[in-house]
This record gives sequence, structure tokens and C-alpha cells, in this order.
Amino acid sequence: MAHNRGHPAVIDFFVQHAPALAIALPLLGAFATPLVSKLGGKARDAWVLLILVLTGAIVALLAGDVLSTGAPRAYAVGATLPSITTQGGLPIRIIIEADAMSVFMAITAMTIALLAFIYSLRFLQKHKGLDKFYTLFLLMTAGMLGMMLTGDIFSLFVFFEMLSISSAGLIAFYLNRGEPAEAAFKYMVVSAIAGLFILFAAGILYSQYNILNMAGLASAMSFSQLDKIALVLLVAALALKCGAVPMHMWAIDAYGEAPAAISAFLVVASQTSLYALFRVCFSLFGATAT
Amino acid sequence: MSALPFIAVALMVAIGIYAAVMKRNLVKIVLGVNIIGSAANLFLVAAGYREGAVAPIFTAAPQLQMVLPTPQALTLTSIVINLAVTAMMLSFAILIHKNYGSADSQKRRLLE
Repeated sequence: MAHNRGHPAVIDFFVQHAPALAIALPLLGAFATPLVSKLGGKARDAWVLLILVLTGAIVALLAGDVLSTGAPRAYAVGATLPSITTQGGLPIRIIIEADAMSVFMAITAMTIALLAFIYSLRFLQKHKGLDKFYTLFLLMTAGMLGMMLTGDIFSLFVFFEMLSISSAGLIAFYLNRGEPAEAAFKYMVVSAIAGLFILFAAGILYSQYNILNMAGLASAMSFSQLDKIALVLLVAALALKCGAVPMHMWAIDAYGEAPAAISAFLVVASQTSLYALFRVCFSLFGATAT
Repeated sequence: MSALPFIAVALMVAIGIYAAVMKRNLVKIVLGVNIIGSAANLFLVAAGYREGAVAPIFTAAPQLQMVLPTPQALTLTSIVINLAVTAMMLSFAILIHKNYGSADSQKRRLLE
């Protein structure tokens, strides 16, 4: 099924820049949504649907490209030649890395995003403030895709916080009752502490190796005492966000008090931090079966 | 002693976690998370410091040995993110106070 040779040039452009477009499109759509919803409810729904379908198409193109060649793709953000990612053996620039597990998670996330959006069209029909809902929804999608496609540990922190802030705003959507606000407060405190632990671990790793790139850290890693502390901090932070058992108390309230479409999407947010845990343990610290 | 910033970071993280876990008032919990954020910023800037080096500005630099500039960029990003997180948590605290009638996390009484 290798048919990439017959693509017209426009598809080649999209395939080459797909990793950056997959994060940039929902971000642009999120910031334009309050403006578009001034034109009315139908315009807003059509705009969000357009953004989600375009992002889904770009993620599908990226998945097709990565899975057909079988090799992970590195993409340097904002460069004239995005495939130049090392200079003299050192990784340079912020790098987005798409390999088979990333695109699998990205396809899953976009499918659930589309389904949650279509469900919320009818479910939240009678509510006001839907323009803010869809803005936060697209920001959550952007943060999720960023966390899945990143190759940089500090970008992981930034997209982690983007995901947790927008999903906390969505959990507290029903403003007339006190329980959603309480659930969102618990979720936000837990997520903020988890994000700060990730920042501590990134600082520890940077001060040892002077590299923030995950692939560069993996090749420079000597498993010293400070690296063990960084590993413990990262595992604790990502397990806090997954809702793993010692730290699961926020999940009961958050999943219960969120609107139904957001409960489904919140599961994908937890699985995204599980994916990040895999990435840290296996790619960054190089755990093997021996 | 040269390890003083890192000892301060450890103390601030301990105070922040104590405040976030043991306090009952919602605003005190938010302040605890904010203290942990400030500790992270201090850690990043102190990790980039070098003895006897100047600020990393090339124009009219007194010497060419400078502190690391990348942790300072990371700290700027972290300050902005912590601002957004604190604003979010405080708005949730206001909503809880409006609906529950008190900012105490143990009081579950809802106003009629």
C-alpha cells in the first residue's frame, strides 16, 4: 500500500510539515473561536468542526507517512530546513518527534475529540457560554497533541500545563452548582504540583547534561544519583496525573462532575500522561527487559 | 556557602507541600502551590549560576564568562505558567465560596 510516490506537491507540503501543523491548527482555531462565535452558534460549530476535521486529516497523513516508512521522524520547529536537527553531534532547536507509538496515540486522541465534539453539539445545546467551552476544548486538543508529539522534556512540561489548565476549566463548566468547582479545584491543585515536579526533573537533567532533548538525554544518560532522583520525580508526577492508585482521589470527583463529553475526553488526557510515562521510562532512561 | 540557594529550594518545597496538604483554607492551599512554583524558579536560576560570572548580555560585557542563559528562559516560561495556574485556582476558590458559603475545605454545607 505504498502510494506516497504519486502524491501531488501540495500533499507533500502537508506531509513534510505535518508534525508542526497538527499542534498549530487547534491552537489557531482555539484563539479564533471567540471571534467566530460572534457570528452566531452555527458559525462557531462549523468552525470547530472544520478545525477538528483538518487536524484529524493532518494526523492521518502523518500516521500514514510514519507507519509506511517505519522510521521515527524528527522535525525542528520553525526552521527553513526542518529535517536538520543536529549540529556537530549536539541536538539543536526544539524538536518534534513522531514515531509509531506517538501517531497511534494521536489517532486515538483525534478520534475521541471528534466524537466528543459531535456528542457535545446536542448534549450542551441549551447552555450558554459555549464559545468558551469550545475554546477550552480546542486548547485541550492542542495540549494533548503537543504532549504526544514532543521530543523535548521542557515542551512536555509546557504542554502538560496547557492540558491541565484547559481541562480544569472544562470540568468546572456547570457554574450553578458547587460540586464541579470543587472537583476542578482538586484537579487543578494536583495537576499544578505534578507539573512543578516535572519542571524540577527537567532542571535536574538539564543542569547535568546541558541538553533538553529526549533523544540527546537518552544517549548522554549515565544513571547517576541525581538521575535517579529525576526519574522518581517524573514517575511521581506522571502517575499523579494518570490517577494511579495512591493519588487517585481527584479522579472520582473530576470524572463525575464534568459534562459527559468532557469525561470521555478526560480519559484521553489521563492516557496521554501514561504515554508520557512510557516515553520517560523507555526512551529517556532506556529501560530494557534485562 | 555555595549550596545555600539549593537548601532554600528544599525548604521552600517542604513548606509549600505542607501548606498544600495540611491547610484547610482554600487560599492557603493556593499559596502553598505558589510557593512550590517559586521554589522551582529559584532552582532553575540557581542551577545556571557560575562563580565569578556576569549576566549573559553581550553588549559592553565586562568579561566573556557568563552565567547560563537557557535556565533563565525556562524560568520565564515557568513564571507565566504559574501565573495562569494561580489565576485558575483562585477563580475556582471564588466559585466554591459563592456556592458553599465558606472557603473552608471541610465545610460541606450548601446555601439554600
